[in-house]
Amino acid sequence: MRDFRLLRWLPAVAGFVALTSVASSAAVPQHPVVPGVERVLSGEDAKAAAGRILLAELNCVSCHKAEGAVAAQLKPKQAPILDQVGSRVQVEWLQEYLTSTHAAKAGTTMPDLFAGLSEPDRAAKVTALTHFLASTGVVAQSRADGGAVGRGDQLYHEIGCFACHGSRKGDAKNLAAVIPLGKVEKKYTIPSLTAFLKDPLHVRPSGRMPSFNLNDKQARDLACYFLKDLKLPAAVNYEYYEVSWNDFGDFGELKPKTVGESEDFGVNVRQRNDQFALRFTAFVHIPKDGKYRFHLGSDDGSRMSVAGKEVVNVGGVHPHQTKTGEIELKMGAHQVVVEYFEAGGDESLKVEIEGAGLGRQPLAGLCSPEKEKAKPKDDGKPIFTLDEGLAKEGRVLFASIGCASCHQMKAGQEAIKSKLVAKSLADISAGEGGCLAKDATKGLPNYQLSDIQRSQIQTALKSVEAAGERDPSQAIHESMAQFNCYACHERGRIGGAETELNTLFKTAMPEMGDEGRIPPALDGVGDKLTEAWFKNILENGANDRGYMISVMPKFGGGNVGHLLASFRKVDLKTEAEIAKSSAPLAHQKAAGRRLVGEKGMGCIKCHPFGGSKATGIQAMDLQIMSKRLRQDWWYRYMARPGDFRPGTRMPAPWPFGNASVRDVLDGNVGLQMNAVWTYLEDGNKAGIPLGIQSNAIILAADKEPIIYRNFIEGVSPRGIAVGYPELVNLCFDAEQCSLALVWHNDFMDASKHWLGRGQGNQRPLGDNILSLVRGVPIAALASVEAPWPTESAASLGYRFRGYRFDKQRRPVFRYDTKLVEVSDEVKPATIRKGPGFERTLTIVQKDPDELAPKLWYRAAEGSSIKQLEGEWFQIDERFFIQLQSDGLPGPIVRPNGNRKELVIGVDLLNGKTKIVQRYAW
Amino acid sequence: MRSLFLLMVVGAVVSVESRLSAQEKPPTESDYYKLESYEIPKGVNLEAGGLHFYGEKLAVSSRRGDIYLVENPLADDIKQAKFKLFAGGLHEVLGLTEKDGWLYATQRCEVSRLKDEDGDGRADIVETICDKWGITGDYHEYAFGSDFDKDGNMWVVLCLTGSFNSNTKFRGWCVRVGADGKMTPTCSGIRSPGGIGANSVGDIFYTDNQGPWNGTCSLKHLRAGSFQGHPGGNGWFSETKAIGERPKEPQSGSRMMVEAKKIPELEPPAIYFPYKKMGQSASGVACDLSKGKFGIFENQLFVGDQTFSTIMRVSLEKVQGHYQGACFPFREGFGSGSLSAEFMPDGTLIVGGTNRGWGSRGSKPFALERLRWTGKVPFEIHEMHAKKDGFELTFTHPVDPETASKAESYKLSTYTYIYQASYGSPEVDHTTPTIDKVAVAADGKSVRLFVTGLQEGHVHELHSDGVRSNDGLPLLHKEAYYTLNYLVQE
Repeated sequence: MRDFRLLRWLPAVAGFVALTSVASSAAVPQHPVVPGVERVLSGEDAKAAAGRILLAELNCVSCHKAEGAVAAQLKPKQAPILDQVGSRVQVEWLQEYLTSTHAAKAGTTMPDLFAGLSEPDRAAKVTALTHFLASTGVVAQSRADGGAVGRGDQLYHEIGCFACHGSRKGDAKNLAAVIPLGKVEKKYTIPSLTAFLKDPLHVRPSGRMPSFNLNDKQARDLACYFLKDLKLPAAVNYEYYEVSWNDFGDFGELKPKTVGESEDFGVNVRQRNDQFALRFTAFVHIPKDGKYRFHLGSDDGSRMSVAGKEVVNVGGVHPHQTKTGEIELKMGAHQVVVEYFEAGGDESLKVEIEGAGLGRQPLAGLCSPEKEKAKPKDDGKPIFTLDEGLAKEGRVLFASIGCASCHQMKAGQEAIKSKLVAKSLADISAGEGGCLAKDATKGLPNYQLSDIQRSQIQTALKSVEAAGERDPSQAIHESMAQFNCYACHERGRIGGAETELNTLFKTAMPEMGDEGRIPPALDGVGDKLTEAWFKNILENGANDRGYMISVMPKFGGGNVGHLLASFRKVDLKTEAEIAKSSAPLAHQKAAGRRLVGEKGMGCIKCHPFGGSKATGIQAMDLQIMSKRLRQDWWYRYMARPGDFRPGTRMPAPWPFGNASVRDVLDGNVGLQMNAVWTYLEDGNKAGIPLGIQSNAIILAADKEPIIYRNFIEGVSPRGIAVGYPELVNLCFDAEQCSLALVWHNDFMDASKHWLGRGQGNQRPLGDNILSLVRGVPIAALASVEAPWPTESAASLGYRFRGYRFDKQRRPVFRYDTKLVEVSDEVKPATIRKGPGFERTLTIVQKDPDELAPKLWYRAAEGSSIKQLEGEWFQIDERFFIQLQSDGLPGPIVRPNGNRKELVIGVDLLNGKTKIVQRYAW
Repeated sequence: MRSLFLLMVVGAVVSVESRLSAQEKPPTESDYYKLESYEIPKGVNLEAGGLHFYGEKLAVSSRRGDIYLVENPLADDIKQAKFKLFAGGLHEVLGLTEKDGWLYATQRCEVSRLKDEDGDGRADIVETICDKWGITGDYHEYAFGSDFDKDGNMWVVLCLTGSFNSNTKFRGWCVRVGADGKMTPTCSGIRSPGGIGANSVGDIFYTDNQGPWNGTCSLKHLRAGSFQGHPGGNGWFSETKAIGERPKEPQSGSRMMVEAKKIPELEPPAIYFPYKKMGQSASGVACDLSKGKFGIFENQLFVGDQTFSTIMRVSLEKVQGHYQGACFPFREGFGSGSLSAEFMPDGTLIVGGTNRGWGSRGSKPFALERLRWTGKVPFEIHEMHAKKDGFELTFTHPVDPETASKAESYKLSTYTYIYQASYGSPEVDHTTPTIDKVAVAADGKSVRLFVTGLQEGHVHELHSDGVRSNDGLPLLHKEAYYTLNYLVQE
């Protein structure tokens, strides 16, 4: 059955549309708008390129199949996926858009498919298609709130929406290269627009509308801003009670705290989050006789009655839970009562109706507070009632007239296949007639092309066969026009923020100037960024520039991923002069860290480091430098930042090839560059640069050693850290009676433990942190091959005895085993020309008359132990150890599984022995 | 005759004066106990966790791991006090005491003893005495150490891991440590201690804080072999036979005295400090053994509250063999969160404060203060005793028989706490007993309240707003909270 009310309403809509299009014709484009083409490819010489882009953007090749190399050039733009369009777009909008496509949405790239049809024929087809599209779902409705509208306004004019869609401020000019938004408020509802903005690529995989990776709140704020004028009439009466119920009590005994009208059955009228109850009354206007299902979901309890009968009961205290009840209703108004209570925790209430042609939808949409208000929606429009017969008819049309050529529409598992057959692209290379005819032809899509566009397409059609593979530079240029990258980015002096929109690009760091505000030029970007980083930006967008308010959105790898190869082909250079450093990597990193910190070049004044803010402005994070930037580019950039970013505030760290910090690596620029890069390569594992933590509590040895007993990273909780004035440090592990860590330079930052409650392990503040052999130092072995014991020191009979200070107030650690007493003395010393430690263990037998088993001392452990001259050993290319004793046997390297151990005998022939171990690292 | 007459006149004058001042401006705590702050040298962060009078000096240990020796700590002019670093780099020292000239420090990880051997004022040796309990690196695993008891043992209470679990050996236990390093597990059931100290006869008490299995903060008697209420650490009975078998698991959601009847080892808190009435974070414990130098409260316990920046007062008695009694507000206005408390031989109470990690009314990040008796005795309930048929209140001054004998001068209510695994408890099971009769003793120094409806296991909250002293003064603190775990049977 055809819905006569809908038909009756159609001419009114058409008339309204005609009127508005006349009134605003001066400002609104009449032709499909592809902004990049309008802006950078409008010249005579760019006609072929512009035409190629139009062939893709207008999806010509979806009907006119291209072959071979041409097909590769003209990748069609995938039209919006219509699988559940009924739940995204208002049915009235579908009707209007199909009725008068170009008037309803100026600048659209969708053609009018009903050109030249008689008014009734067109109306009938549109109605059928509308019913088919609407059969895929029902839109949810909700009201905008004031705060969200304001926030949405700010978001729109900050994150970058404006770059493609223009400013929506009162005095905004209409720009040619701007994509008109059309009547968003007619098309969407707040929930459906929110869902779209959250993930535009989901329904529009072509990436022409990229995703800004918005969170739920941001997406809703934006939706509220677009739909701020949406007015929903009150649908229900409510009474709000404050009461502590764990199940329904008697509403009659309570006095409501407030009463009023609301647009839906929801908990947003509450005044507190726990211990309240709500009672809603309304009239539901049932469009036709039939069986209706009511879905009631709530946290905590709820129940509802329709026409005096309880239909659903979800009583009790529980998380959100939905139940469904069914009732037969006659056409007309019926009273609905929904009762709800909340005890504690989360609160929610959702009431929906479904059945007899109504898709599952919020019940409030069909309700009015009073019986007399016959029309639940105050916009004068009748309720849309789905007609299955019409929907079927529409489905046939969807395939036959070509909708399915461009739009994916799944009915069940399979997408509907287009039955439209058109000439191949090669067959229309003349570019005459058909869709390109000046006047719309009956039965053919009408794109409402401008004369220029027609000519651009014609040029492209003529040249497309001959074009061959495009030069990568040209490919980049065309893609940047196609995806409107030029709206934000300049490359080769083309594009960049339009003058009228320039001031909308904002920064969180005004003192950074335009550099902190305007999206970067893309000259040389394929040279600058590492492949992985660039790929990720193309696939997922970026937000690396914390100071820049606009966001690089996600265009999707399938759409723009191919650009990576082109950019690299055009931009990549490998020409930096990189010096050779011979110093151990750990020493280079220490030097790099020093150079980056406040005692060096002070990079930390402008660059934050992970969670630590820079002391001045907050430029790019140091932790991502080596992942983001190619090493070769970085060296060249560091030499002359201004050449790469004209006018940048980044000072040349080594101005005119000179080092300003002379006491690190002898002021050698090449070695310093290597040091900084090597340090940055550690990313978030690099030691925090000195001077960046404003709340640091720096502990340093002054004239005598300093001790810090606390939770130290890499040691048991019984760590005893000692910092020496000689700028070497150690941490003794009192639980294992072992020397656990040694490191150079700064000692310790106590802020982790001395501010707040003090949770967590503190990493030593200095550089070149070396973790030494774990486990007990001395053990009795049955033979020289016997494995080193792995039990805890306590279970092996060890007892930590504390420490005594020597004359320089260096602690001398003391511990016992069952057999011996050990004094473990560690002193700073110059070892192998650098700062190191000399350790002396004095081991005394407790009972000299006892016949003790053979004891061993384990000096080191590693995957490789190389013996050098003079009792020196190199462990894992990391450090050097010299091992001497006054007894026998001397040092032995022995296997320990796949690894090696360096042990030496503890000779107690005289009841006492001394072992000396020196460390250089 | 003449001299006697003169004395009577003087007495009359004093009495009139105090009546007058009572009408003009009621006396305050500071009229009786004077609070003074030590001037801590710039750059020294003295979050005072342990206090001990050590050879005419005051030893103060800090959460940052320093130990300072304060010279002239008891000089009349507090500015004469001089701070000198004795040792540094220790791990959160929350207990100081001495034996044989050594200063014993309870660090987070161990009990150590320190000595200055060369007389330069700095420790030359830090000797580990006992490190037999576990630590995991969790900040909550605090260790508080007491003085040595008459058997030569220190008592150390070990906070649970994260104040909920026991992830390593003997977290949630009290252990005794001998000077030879021998460690004897002594009580289980500890949650999150705030201080430890002995009473006048040498029994050891500690404070525990509101949380799981602790409805509110409390003062608990560490009876050897007892279970103090939080079962989180009871897994370690597998590691020791020192106090017998693991006690039965308490039932969550029950009441303390219901469970105490089922679990013989369970020692109920001697004193509940009702939450947000007395405080929120009970801490250091000190006993006045100064024989009157601190005033009239000899042998009573003084307990800190970190959040409220106060010192509270506790009078204890033994009923059915268990300690219980009443707590009273005593002195507020400390500069930081009261943590440590220790009496000096001259009756000065030293209080150390910190508010790092847990906020306090006293806004300073740390403080070291002393509280001294001015010589005037405040009008207070001196002690509160349970009787079979009510309570006996003793007073610091004779009461006005008229106001003190009226039942309307008193307001009594009771409640208890849910004994449960989840955090804390509201006050529950409220009752209002009736005061049937009030009898004032002939000397006016005590009052008997005859009560119907005493509640076993309940806090009995008494407000004596109507009572006046013989001099017409109201009580300096009108509230008293008696923890009636056990009824007097006689």
